Amino acid sequence: MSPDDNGVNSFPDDNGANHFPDDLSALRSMRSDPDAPTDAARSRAEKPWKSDGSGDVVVVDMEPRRTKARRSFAVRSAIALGTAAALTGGVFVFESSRIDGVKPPNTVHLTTRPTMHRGSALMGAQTFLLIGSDSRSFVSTGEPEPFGVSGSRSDTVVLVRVDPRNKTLRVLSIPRDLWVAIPGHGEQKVNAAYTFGGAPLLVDTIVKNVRIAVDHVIEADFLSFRALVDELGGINIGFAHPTRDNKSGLFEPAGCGHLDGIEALNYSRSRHTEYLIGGRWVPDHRADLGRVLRQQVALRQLGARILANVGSDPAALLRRVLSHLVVDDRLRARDLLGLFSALHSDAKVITETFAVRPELRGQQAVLVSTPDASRQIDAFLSGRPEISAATGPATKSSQAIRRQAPEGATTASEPIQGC
Amino acid sequence: MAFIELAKDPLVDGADHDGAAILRSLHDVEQFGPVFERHYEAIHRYVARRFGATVADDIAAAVFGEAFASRSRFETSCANARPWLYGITVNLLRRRARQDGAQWKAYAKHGRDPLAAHANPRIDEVAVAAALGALSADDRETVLLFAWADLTYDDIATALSIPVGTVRSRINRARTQLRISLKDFQ
Repeated sequence: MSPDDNGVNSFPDDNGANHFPDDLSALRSMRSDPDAPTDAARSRAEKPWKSDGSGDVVVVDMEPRRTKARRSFAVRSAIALGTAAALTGGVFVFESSRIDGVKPPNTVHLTTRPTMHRGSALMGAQTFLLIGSDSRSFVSTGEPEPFGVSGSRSDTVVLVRVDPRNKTLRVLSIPRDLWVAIPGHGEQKVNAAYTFGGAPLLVDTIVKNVRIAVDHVIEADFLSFRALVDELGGINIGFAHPTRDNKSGLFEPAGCGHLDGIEALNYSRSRHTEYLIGGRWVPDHRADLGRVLRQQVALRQLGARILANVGSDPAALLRRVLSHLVVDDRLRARDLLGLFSALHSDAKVITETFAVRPELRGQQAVLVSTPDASRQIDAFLSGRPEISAATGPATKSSQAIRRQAPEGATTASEPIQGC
Repeated sequence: MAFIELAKDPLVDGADHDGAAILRSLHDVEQFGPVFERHYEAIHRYVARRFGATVADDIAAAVFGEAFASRSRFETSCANARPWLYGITVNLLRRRARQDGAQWKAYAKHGRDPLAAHANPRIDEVAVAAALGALSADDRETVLLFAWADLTYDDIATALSIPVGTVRSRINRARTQLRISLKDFQ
């Protein structure tokens, strides 16, 4: 405030309201002079991040008296901090004893282990294989079984690599129709491996064909995915256009949608998605690849949702989450926490779909990997983003697939900012 | 490879990039310093105007303490940490801000700024105080972040974790109240 208007009554003159200050300038005029903070205040404020010399984080208790709400905020901060420490290879300051006490209730034993396995999120990068299966026992809709197989098929195969050194999270989706050599079963679609031998055989198949070692496996089926989403209170997904899939039962209006378990499942399973663009329903011709993209969206939203739910008792949350999942018997709760944190948007996320082109194998339309795939794999393992950028524009085939997609539909499955 | 999401690499961005500084501070805590230097005064000034210089010293210290402790959650591709810091500030002030209305009502009634920032307030300040006192705590916080902290609508949406449409409607509501109040005092 300048000296000349200090204390001056600024009533409007007789010309009336025109001279009266506009509401915002009246409000702005009440902003005080910058009260330069005192040096004492400044030095007090600087304390929290003074290093103790070791380079590790020092947490300073800001206020001795805490309300319940503040405590949970503090615990959330502690988790974020613990994750940061895990991601940076620092000291894990989070209540690790309580987290480590959480034992996954449903486990599967993997036969193949990566030779370079280090077994700890603290040490280096880890690769998770996420499997979404369509277990027969859980399908309540009476959907006919296409091949008469009684086992379950892996509907979704996603590799996630969390790399603390580069602060990157890489997501590589494997199309379920990818043509691969399954150990002991000849050439098949990749999802057949899960039917024949469950997660262990799928891991062997991935290792053999994609040449990416898998550290951990996390499995969910339709029912458990749905229950998990409901347990977390739903997930938020943005839609650029009204979106439906009459086969999976998906229908969402445009805008920010809050999806409960069954809706999230319909969204993630949808293969016959249609967008309402310009007054008519336009199909998403990307078919399975479009579905893979939607699953990546759902996965990230799920990660964000889990972190948002951590609250004051992360051990209890992990127990609840784990009760819906099958994981490998070497996965520890803290590995899982590291994955969820990384799925949240702190780390740089690079999402890709395995480079493939369609081919016919006998009567079956299948997908085979293209030369770009090997560069993708190198990039995935090295965590260097520039390699991925160097692979440049999409492969010919995936470009062709994209071209078939209706105008605007390419982004329709991707989350709207701020949703 | 239909969908590639490549964040800008904060490590190669310039020195005034808050996200880059915060990312570096995950390894080297001293790197948090520039973030403090860039924003401490603004945060302090805003709190000082709302609740006085004594409160501002404590709150500003607490804001940067919280910010430091939760810095791993900061979106490191974001160049400006100020909206995030205001978000922390608003959280820390929440309890106080709920009682803030009474303070403004008292100002309007007695014609005296309780913080004595202005010894002899202009008549339109009393009108503004009356309007501020009548607002809900949320509407008041939002319009003051706009008018006093100079945040954009998008920044406020980030700070308060609300949609930008909500920011717009809150500010509209607050300004309508202000205009009515200014007319009444005219």
